Amino acid sequence: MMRIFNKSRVVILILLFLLLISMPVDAVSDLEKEIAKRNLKRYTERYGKAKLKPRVRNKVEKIFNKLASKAEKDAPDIDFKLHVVDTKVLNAVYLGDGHVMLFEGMLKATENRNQLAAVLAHELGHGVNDDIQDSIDLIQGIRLGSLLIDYAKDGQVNQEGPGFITALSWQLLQKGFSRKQEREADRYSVFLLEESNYDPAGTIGLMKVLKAGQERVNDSELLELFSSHPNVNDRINYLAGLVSKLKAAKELYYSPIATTRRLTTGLLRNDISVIYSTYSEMVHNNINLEKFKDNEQLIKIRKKIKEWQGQYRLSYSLEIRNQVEGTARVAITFFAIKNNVKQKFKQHKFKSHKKVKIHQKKKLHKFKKFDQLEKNGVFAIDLINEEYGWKVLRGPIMY
Amino acid sequence: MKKKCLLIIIILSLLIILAGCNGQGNLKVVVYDQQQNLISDIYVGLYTSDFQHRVRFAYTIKGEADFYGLRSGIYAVRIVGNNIEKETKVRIQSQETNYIKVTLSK
Repeated sequence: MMRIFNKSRVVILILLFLLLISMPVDAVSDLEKEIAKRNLKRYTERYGKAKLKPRVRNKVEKIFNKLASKAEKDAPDIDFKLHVVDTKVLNAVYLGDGHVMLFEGMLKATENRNQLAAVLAHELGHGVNDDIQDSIDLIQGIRLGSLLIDYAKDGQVNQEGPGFITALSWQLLQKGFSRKQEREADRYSVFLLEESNYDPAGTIGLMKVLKAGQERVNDSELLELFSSHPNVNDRINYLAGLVSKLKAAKELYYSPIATTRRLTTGLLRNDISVIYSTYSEMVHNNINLEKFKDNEQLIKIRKKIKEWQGQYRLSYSLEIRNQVEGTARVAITFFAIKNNVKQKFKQHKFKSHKKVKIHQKKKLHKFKKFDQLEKNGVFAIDLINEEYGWKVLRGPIMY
Repeated sequence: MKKKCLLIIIILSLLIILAGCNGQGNLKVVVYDQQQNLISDIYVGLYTSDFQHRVRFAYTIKGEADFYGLRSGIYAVRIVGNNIEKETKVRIQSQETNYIKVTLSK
């Protein structure tokens, strides 16, 4: 009878456990808060707060606040806080509940703002990805499993008390994050740097600094960081791939040229929605699509382009004429090939296919030059780099 | 009666001063190259007097960049183009169009 009663209690406990882990957790758990508090105390007592020069402190805080304000949008329940401790150890850790700890050794090792931002962004990534809570759940799951086995064996549980949290917090520090969690945090840091106007290549630079540190230092304590993190070379390769993909995508979709290309496509297709979508939020706040359609300057230009399209086959080139402090001036130059010239050109007969191509290029270039739309065919566009990429603020204006 | 008149005069004077302070003016920046040709595509940024915040910006077309409806006060101006950068300050006065002529040369 007693055995059946014990078994049913075990089943209830298992069900309760499954129910608890399947519940979505939005806010930081009390356990995570407690663990973060204890580990913060542990590190601060061990190393003491770093005595930074006001200039250095301001720099670090400025970078951290800039990154944290963006990261908090991804994790609204977390209020990120930075602590710098006085030790030469090359490390930075996320302690949970928004507490990021930067070791002075790491601060000194970074060569520029982008690298420092990369360290902080990586730790913020652990916070946004809720890695501490995931690790707690994992450790708790293992502990609960062993407790259930004990309970099923002799009906006794040798557990909890204040020692449990201390052991758990120590285990978390010892265990560190998994490789998958580290990779996710690396990935997040690249995008966070990009979003906060730091160079994402700072993540690669940081890895190189860590690698140099790894080769230089023999002290096991100084190498604390490397014991828990994945292979530095792997991380460099992974980050380099990610950064180059991001840069290529940025060039293609998030550059003054890319936005102007979309605007020009809209003009050539006479698609007002496409044209309107390339404009800045400032323009959208002042003019809605209906009013935008009635813009006299734009009507004039659209008419002109339509007129050209009736006479010529239009082509265009885009050129950044100037780019300063998140703004850019791009020039659109329209070219035209007269329809009759096009037909005459097609009638030419050439002997070899290769020769045709070379000859065609030369001829086409000649015709384009000849038929360039001179003064009327060049427009200026002013753009601004906003939160969601480059947007048109002014233009097209005829030069 | 005299006191009332005096009070009204003081209030009116204050209003005129305040209106004068909060008035709006315009700024026209004209940029030349070394040969005194008007040059396009030059960045003209208008900042608070300590250069901390950008108020507006424009790029020149045929040498000119216009800023309309600026609150009267002192602004810092940064002009960038052809690998040259120049900075200056300008006072915008109410109901007036202020001109800056700049020659960009090394």
